[in-house]
Amino acid sequence: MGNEVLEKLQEVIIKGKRADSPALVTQAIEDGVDVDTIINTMSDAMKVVGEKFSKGEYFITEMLLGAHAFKAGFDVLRPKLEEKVKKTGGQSKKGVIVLGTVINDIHDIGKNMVASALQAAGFEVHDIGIDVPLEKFIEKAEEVNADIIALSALLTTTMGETKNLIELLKQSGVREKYKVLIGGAPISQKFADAVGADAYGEDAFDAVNKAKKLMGLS
Amino acid sequence: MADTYISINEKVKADIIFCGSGMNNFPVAALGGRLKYMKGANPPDIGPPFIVSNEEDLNQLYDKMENGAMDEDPIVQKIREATKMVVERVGDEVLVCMTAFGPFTYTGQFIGIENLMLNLAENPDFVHKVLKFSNKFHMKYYEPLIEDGVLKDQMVVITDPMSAPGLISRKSWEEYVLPYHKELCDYYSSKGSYIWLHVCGDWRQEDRWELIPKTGASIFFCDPKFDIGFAKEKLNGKICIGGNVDQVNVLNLGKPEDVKKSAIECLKAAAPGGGYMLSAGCDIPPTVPYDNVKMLIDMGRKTKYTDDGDIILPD
Repeated sequence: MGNEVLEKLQEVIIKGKRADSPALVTQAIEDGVDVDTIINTMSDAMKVVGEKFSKGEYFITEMLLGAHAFKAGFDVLRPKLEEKVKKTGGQSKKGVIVLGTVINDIHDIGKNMVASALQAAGFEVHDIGIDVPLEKFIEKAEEVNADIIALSALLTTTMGETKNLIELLKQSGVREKYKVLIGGAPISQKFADAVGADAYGEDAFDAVNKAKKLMGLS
Repeated sequence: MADTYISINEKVKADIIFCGSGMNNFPVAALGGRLKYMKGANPPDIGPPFIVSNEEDLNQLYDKMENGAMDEDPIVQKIREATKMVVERVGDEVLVCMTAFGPFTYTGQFIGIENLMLNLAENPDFVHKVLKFSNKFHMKYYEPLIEDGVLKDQMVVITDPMSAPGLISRKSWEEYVLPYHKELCDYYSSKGSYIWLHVCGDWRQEDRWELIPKTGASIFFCDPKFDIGFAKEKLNGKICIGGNVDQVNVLNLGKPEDVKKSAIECLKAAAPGGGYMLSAGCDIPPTVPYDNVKMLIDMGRKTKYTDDGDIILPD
């Protein structure tokens, strides 16, 4: 990498020092580092966090700290990214995703981690929150011209909403327009197949891989 | 409420009645936690804003609890009364439990789960303080039934899903969960109650199954995320085990034959020699077909033991 600030930025994200990432992003911008290089550095750091999670070295605490450190840095970088998009007339984003936790379910940690991981991987993410009525997913997807609708359900009592969304998409005649990606503690590949979802993400980083696959990127 | 439990169990004929199942959040609401009601049969959850963000809030919660906030709560009263009535009416025939979350999960409900996870790294002392409170809170919830001996020879529940493997490390489990579970188990055992412990997740991870018997619980319920045969091999003779028929893929999505097949697999792996309870691996969704529940219970009921401890499976 050869840049001390970027090396430090990568380190603080991997170690989850969320208070330190904004200042390092500011420093990198002031040093004249290209925004793409900064975002790539941060994405690489999140990838390391994901690998450590997959290997069982990291748990939710470390993942959350990493995601917070990423997000805090990303918030500083966002105006610069938008500026660049305006100048170049669009960025090469990987896809547009509408993401939320289904109605009657207020769990948000997993969903937030998926949002950060997708963002870090270059997706445009529209996080519509928790306890979201199914119609809202479709409304938002139509509004932002989404590629993927991603649903999180953490309870055995709410996971059935994933099926209901797919039914609603069919009834609305837009099932073919969107890929449906689902995840959450009680959900499995078998369940995803049974409800007719296009993909199942086992964890935040698996969700990224599946989203890439759905977009034909891997 | 007691009538409902008893009449449903007359139909399905289970060996255990879980009173207050799905109502583990009400004691938190009694202290000011915000309940988020769901439509249909879904149990309410605790949502933000969370009631503890600093030590001052925690002290206020101690005051509230000591001043009887839980005892005055009509729903808590109802759960305790129903449990007592079920014990009085059928406590000789079935094992009766009153259910509750464990201290780690309650701590998450007091301060917010995300906050709990972040504080494990950033403010561990505060986490310990809230955990200490959560243990007192657990005991307070059961207090009248323990004092009156209602739950003597019956069962107390610690279900602590937020401390699942995959969520926190083994090291964190040893520091933030085990000592608190042990304190609760020691206390309830000294009062003559059994303790049902359930923590979801795959316990093969980091060999953390070794920690389970150290809690002092009477029985550990195993999530379908790992093989019951593994639990049998590692925990046999140390703690009774239960589970782990898959509540989603088998009980909810399967047919009675699938339940039968899965029950036989569990029985073959875990029942020989005793020390095993056939059961779902976690709470079952409300959409599980009745015939599947019935099949699971029938399979357990029809399985017999020989004098040597071998099992005779039903046809």
